[in-house]
Amino acid sequence: MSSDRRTAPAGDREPDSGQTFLEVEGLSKYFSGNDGLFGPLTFEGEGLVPRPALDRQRVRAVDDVSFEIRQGETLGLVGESGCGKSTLARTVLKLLEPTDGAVYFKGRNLADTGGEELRRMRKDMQIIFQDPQSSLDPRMKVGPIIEEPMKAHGMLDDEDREARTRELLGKVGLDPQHYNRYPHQFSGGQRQRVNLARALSVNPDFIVCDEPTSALDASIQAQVLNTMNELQDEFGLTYLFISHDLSVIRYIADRVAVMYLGEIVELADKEELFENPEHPYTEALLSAIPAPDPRSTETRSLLEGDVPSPIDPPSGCRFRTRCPKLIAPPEYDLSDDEWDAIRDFTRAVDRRSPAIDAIEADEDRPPAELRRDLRGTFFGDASLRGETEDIVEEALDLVVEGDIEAADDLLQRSFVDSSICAREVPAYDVENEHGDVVHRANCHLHRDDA
Amino acid sequence: MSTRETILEVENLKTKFFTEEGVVRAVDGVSFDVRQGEIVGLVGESGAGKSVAVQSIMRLVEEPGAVVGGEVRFKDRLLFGLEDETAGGEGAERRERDEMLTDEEMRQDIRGREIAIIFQDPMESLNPVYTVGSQIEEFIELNRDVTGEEAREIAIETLRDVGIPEVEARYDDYPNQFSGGMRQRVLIAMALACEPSLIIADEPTTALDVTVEAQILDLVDDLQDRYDTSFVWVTHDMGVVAEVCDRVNVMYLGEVVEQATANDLFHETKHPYTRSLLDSLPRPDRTVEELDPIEGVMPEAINPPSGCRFHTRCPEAREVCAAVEPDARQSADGADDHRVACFIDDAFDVGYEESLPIESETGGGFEASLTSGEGESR
Repeated sequence: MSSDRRTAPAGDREPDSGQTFLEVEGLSKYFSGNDGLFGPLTFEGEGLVPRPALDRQRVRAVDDVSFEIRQGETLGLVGESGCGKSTLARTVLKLLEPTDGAVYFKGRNLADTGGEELRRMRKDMQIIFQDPQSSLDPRMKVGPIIEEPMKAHGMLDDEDREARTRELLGKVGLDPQHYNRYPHQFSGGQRQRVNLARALSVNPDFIVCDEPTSALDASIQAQVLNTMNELQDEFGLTYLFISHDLSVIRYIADRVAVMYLGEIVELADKEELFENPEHPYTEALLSAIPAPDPRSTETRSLLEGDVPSPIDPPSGCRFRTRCPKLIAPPEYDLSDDEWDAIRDFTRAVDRRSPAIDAIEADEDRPPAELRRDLRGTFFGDASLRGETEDIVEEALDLVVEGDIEAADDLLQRSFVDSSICAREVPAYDVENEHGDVVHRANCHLHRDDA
Repeated sequence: MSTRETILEVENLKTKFFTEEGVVRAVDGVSFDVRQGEIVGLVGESGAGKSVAVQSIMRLVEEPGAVVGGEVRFKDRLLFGLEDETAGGEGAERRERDEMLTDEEMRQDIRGREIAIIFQDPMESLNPVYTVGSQIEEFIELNRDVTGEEAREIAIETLRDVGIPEVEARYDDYPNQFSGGMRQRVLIAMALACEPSLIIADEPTTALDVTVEAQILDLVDDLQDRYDTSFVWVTHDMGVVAEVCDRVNVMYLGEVVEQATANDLFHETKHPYTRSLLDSLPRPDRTVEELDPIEGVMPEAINPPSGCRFHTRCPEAREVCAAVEPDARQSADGADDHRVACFIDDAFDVGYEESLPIESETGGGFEASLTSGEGESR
């Protein structure tokens, strides 16, 4: 492995690399949950004759995503399940038709291509999936499996295909003699190597790797990752490497994009992203990984709640509903502690968290007592001032009365809706500490230093 | 911690699977113990025998498998134990000891009530056609001698305890209406509902996202503080081990090769397998230039290598390692209770130093060179 390429400052790359290889511009992919002729049709109203209406409910799986990948580099794409990583990958390859936006592959807009041209371009872009078992036909021997893409693209004759396949088996760390074996005769790691050989068979220059090592044991994962690095150097491959595992990304990637709920929230050079994360979501992700060191004393910042639905994502910054750094609305003059308490309370009510839930269910104790306890839980002895005090008091009343919905509504209206995080979609480039590639951190905390 | 009472004692446990291809020695002489309030890790790669080991403890091993030797004690009760080996030797059927609990007693007194188990995939542990509430309620009724309304109250309280929002509104939801993290919380609630003294957690966070995993680990920490429950934590993730475990057993091919406190395991590593495992991990906290994975794959447990089972992949292997089988012993220069099954340690006197190194048997496979792009054979 040419380690000098990895350690060299980004931007200072080998002569033949560094050019933009793939460019993704404002790419979106929406799914409508009601496909089909009458799918979008819903019926409203009660009465005898329901009123038909068009339901335009769409899952915004990937929303306005832009990035580029340079020749020979590995772009890591990281995010939790459901964030849209895999959809993005498939849309980039035009395996899914984008709803909006463009993908330029070596300068050519994939949207304009079709038929034979697209088929020929597909030869240059391959994909490897997570589950090495289900991506191999159990009734075919691995030799013919690896030859399949070559056949599809009319490469070589039978004899040469077999020769190349045996050679590729060696390249990916298998025995050329394994040509006549069936997939079930291989272990998980070996099957993923078969997938690698198949992807490489048509001599692509771009491979999308969708969680390729997630199903593998640690030692096997390390072997496969090392092989992927060696193959990249040998064949000059460009990788889009998708993983939920930040450790793997840190090992394999040159630059990293972090996705949350269909959007890229941060994009930076690997070293920069891990050492100087500038988006609260990235910080939370990083602090959530248990480090393999019992002496590690870093305290974790826990994210509360679940990822919201991509059908109706939060306005402004999509992470704001869970963000520990949500910005206070400008109209209140709050200390940090006060704002923390208000934010926690607002979220607890919104999520109907156990503390709120327990109040609602408790019918034995007098409301005044419940109310005092509730206030104590979130605000301690602190008293708030002026308008905020009135709002919090009113919300507490509503919770104790059991009208959580009204309390939620009041708190959201007062403390969330006017925050810049809810009003504007963030998009900022920030200062680098490591390397000199652009560091994008889409968080309003950077609104002043952008 | 060491002064606390031992609640689970596993001694030389052996479980075999009698398959058509031969006898698989899935668990082969495993010993460890768990003390009150402690989290003990069982770590290793797939096929190491971790899950079979915990199933054996719970006597949940099914045909064609069977626990064939060793002893499992929980508090003062014998969960498993056979009569001493008779003159008949290996082949002879050994009788279960009289004091060993019957299947009925296991069901009635132990499982769920004293020892609860949490599996990796919450969807498989929950019945998709019953509501979450009814499942946990039934479980409580069965194990705690309460009925109806009371069981429901305990269920709601426990669900709230594990951080499920809107419990009453969601009580009658089905498992598929919960997210993965919430389902795992439901299982934890179910495990806790009967206030067991020991919870066996078999890869409980493996299927979860890191932020959700962090929530669950945090919850376990919190619950352990409150209830002082002991855990056997089965995992392949060294990060999770470092995070939650007090003591750790590293398994390889059915055997425990190293046993130590979490701190010693990571910082005073004794066994070459443990070291290789740690070296093959990509790190979240620093950039690693090149991973140094263990070569090859774990051999089949059906016909394990002679001597030390790791010798075929071990960078330190010498001829003696293939000839003699090491048992896990107190390490000569390790802390108390740091046990290791490797001849490198001075606790062994089998002539490792004088023995000749052996080459590990695996080939890298990268020596092949592709001469031209369009597939010329070598």
